[in-house]
Amino acid sequence: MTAASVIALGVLLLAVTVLAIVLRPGRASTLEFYLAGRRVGVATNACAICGDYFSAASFLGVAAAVYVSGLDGLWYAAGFAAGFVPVLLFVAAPLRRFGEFSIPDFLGRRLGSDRVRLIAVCVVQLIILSYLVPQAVGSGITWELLVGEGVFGLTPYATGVVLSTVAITALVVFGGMRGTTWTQAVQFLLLLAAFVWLAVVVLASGFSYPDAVAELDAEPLANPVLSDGEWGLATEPNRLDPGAPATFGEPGGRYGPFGQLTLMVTLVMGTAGLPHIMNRYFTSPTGTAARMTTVWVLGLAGLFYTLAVLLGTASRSLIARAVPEEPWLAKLTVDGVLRVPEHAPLVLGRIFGGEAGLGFIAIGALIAVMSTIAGLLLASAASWGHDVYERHINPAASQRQAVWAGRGAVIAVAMFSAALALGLRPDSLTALFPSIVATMVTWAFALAGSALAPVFILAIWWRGTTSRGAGAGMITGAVTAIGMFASATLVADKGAGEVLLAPTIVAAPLAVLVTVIVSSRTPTPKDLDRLWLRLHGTAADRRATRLARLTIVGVNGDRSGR
Amino acid sequence: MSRGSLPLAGALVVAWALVYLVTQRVPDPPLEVGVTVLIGVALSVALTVGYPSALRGPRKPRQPRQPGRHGRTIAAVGRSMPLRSGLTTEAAQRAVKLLHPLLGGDAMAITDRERVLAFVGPGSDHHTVGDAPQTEAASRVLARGKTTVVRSKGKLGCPKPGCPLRTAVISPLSIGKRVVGTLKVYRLDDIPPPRDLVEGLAGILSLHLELAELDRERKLAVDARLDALRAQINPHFLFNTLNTIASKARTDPEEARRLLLRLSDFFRYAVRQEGQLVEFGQEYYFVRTYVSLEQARYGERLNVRYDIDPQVLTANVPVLTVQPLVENAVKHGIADKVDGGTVLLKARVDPLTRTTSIRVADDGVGISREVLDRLTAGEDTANGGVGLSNISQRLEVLYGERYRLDIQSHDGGGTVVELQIPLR
Amino acid sequence: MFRQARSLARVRDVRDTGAHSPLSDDGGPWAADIGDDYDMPADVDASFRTVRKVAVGHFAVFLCVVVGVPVLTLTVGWWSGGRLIGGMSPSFVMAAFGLYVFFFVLAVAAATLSNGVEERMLGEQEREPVDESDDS
Repeated sequence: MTAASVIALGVLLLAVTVLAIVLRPGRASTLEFYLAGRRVGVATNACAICGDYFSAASFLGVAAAVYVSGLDGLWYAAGFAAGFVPVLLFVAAPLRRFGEFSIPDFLGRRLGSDRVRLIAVCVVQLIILSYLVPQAVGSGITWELLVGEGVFGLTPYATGVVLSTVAITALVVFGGMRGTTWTQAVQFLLLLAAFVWLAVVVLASGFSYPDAVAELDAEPLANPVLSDGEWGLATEPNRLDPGAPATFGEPGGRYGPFGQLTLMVTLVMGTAGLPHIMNRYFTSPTGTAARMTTVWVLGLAGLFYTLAVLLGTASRSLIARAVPEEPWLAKLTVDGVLRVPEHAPLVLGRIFGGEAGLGFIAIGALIAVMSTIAGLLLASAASWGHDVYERHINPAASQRQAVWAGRGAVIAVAMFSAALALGLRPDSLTALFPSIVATMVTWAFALAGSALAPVFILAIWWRGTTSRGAGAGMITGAVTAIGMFASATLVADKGAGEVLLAPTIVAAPLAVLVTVIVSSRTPTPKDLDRLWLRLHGTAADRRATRLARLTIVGVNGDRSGR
Repeated sequence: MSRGSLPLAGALVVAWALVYLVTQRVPDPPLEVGVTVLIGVALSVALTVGYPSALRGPRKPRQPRQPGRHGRTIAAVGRSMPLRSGLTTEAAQRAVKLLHPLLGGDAMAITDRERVLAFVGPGSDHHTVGDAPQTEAASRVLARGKTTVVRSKGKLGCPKPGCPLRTAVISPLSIGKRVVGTLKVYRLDDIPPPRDLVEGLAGILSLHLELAELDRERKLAVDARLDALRAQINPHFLFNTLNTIASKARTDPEEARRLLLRLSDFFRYAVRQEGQLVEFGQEYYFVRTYVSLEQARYGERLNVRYDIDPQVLTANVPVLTVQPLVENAVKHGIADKVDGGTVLLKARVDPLTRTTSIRVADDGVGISREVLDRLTAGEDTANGGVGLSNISQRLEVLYGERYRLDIQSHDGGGTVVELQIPLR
Repeated sequence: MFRQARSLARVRDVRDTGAHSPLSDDGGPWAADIGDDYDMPADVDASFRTVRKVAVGHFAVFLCVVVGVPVLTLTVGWWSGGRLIGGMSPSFVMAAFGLYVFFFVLAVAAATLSNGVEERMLGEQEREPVDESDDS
């Protein structure tokens, strides 16, 4: 299977690199490097946000979750999409209007405190790391299946991790955000194209979605487990109805009474605190544009996840049927069920499109990984280079120095996350957490939703928020979330473990409570009116719109004059 | 959502409880769930839709009713008031159609002073709508204003020889003393139609015409009042603002320029002539413009807080009603208070009762009883108070009985003005 | 006589000044157009409150639906046991399609309402007044 796919992969990497170099900003000012000079259209920015957002967790993880748990797996997709609703309602427009570089900078400036900025940097770095690692794991899994062999004496998995990290790091270091904004947008369209293609061929082959659900629902849900060195199918217990087996189309395959709720809350709150997504909002031309961008994102996300769920269902139904005819499936499956559920869309691609189909989907997966890694690295660079280096280490830094500090940070963070990914072989964890990539991403969401989002939303919508309150809130949220994770590994994901694994439902209210209590005991900053004008006023928006209109009139007038 | 929503919620709960009782408890076996839910939903919808119209009250001010002098059917005509909107061709035709069967005549016509507006019955081939009244009798009635009974074909004086009409009763339609038209009832035989009946009906129609005229006059009067308010931009306000701008011109030219732009916005809005109703958003913009000009003068002494529902912004309100309320609050409440105060403008829409409520409150010195009396009586224009009576008169014409304008003022404790108008 | 500093505090995005100064300062043909680039604190506070109402209201609806789905799963048997299309239960249909449509509709509604509120409550008004006085 190698030749064709390796060539395709090479072409892809080449294309991405060329794009990055061609679109490289002429002069590397800090603003250009991090924020694409703030002139990015609504649709482009929406696509770029999707490119950032739809990581391996969405591309492989959602289909895998549906594949493993049926209906209960759908909630990942719903939660990922739902996360943008609070972003739209509470965050998008004011965040853009305030116009700082990054979340820590925003909080630091809004609350007038360097300490808050530093705490936020720490939280942001933790979130980025916990988001980067599953992406690297995802690229490792994809490489393993696509190429199947390593280079330079590395295992296939390690090769995938290292190669993707190196490629993306290079792209970010040399491209900056303008480069990545356009490439992100293009990459998202490729991703979407991959899913649309797969959905079309699947449906064209006579696959009936409702009938497949009915058919899958007819028998209990069983997944492969490794017991005593032998792979065998084990029926999933129904967690809502002890004793009965779980089925594909009914709840209970994955979550007990509260699991679904806690997962939803975690994903819903998390998005508003994801640094690489929030940084994208700073590149919108106006606050109103930022808001409309989110509407686009929600539309695109709805389309994307509908397809992902469809493909998850299709793979459950079609792969089992294809096993007798496709001998290569034998080593990947146990009685017609995939051992690693993340392989589902890839295998489906190969069944319907042969080598080329597999290549296409695999490229989609790698792109999903790469675009997310790029966004994360850039957010990390912005936070190290801008919030730490420029503000604290070397306040007199020239633009050049700041950009290079960011680049250095990118390389360091990328290497660190790759090292972590190499240490976390997915096989060792799948037994504990099915569909490992999606689960790991949940941790990032939980951290973001517990520590960052509550404080962030309060700072925007409550005048009384103070720096001490925000600091205390962030620390409370982060400590609670991490503490609950740590205890979750002891309890596994049964009963109370469901809450422990998705701790936002406890940690976020706690963070809000602490922020409010501490804030009301400390004095608010004095120039709040001035901050509020920037945060919620539309004067700058109107000026930008008017200038844009005048520019268009001027350009057209010049043309007609000649 | 406050006033009126709670009773509705209560009514809904009671309705569902009743449905449950009647379908699930009383019959044995109980009704199916689907049917029960359907009944409940239908009942809820009916309640929710019917409720606001029940609360809204009559849509127009109560019309004076015409006692039916000629039995029930005539009374019905009196109530249906075909000529309520004035003496037009369309209204006349409606009236003729309605009255023709009741009057015991064969043909019937309504004319104004120049033309026949409507004609039904035999003879309509040559008594066509739009022609001048052809009979001599008609011109006599128009001239004298008295009912005439024509007992022979000759006296009717129709120029066309083959005209089948032989006798007639012709009654004048008048507004006050002025005769504006005639009501004619013809017969084909020699017995003329009942004179009393025709005369009485003409009287009713005349009253309707009078009401229509009154409406028109009132509308004109409202326009005049609005024009008066538009013309009445307080000179003190203008002088003070110009002085503020002049003093700023040196110290802060940029702000002086902005204030001038705001002042021009203020005047542009104040003198624009279109319509009685505007979107609340527009009136709000006018308030903001006004407040920013006053704030330049009063500085930190004048604070304003707005509390506005998103739905209010597109609701229509009578033009130049909200700003005068705010202006009164500034002028009578804050201006005389040494350490300044806050004006609160609160605007709400209740979608259930379909009312817009606007409340302007200040914590200023309060308005004394005499000033309040003068404000509401409409005498006070000299010292710059914006006549609340002007506003309330316009509201009355626009909404009849369906508006509320309350003022509460405590000496030293601030003033609250509350305005409620129907949402449209 | 009184302090004026607060009344017309100018909103200025520090990083953007370079972009607009050439036009706003030379008093060219557009000078009158560019008079509107500041907000009053009271106006901003008002629009902030109203937008917050919009956001909280929509969020409440959103929360009701998002929490309602798991609650229905636990309480109403028909929700996960019934069959709507083929083998799909109402719960499945909701999770696979309905929620996305709902999110999108909610997003469009909230975004247009917030934009409308900000447009009407801040900056100049450009629309003409409506005249419906004749219908009474």
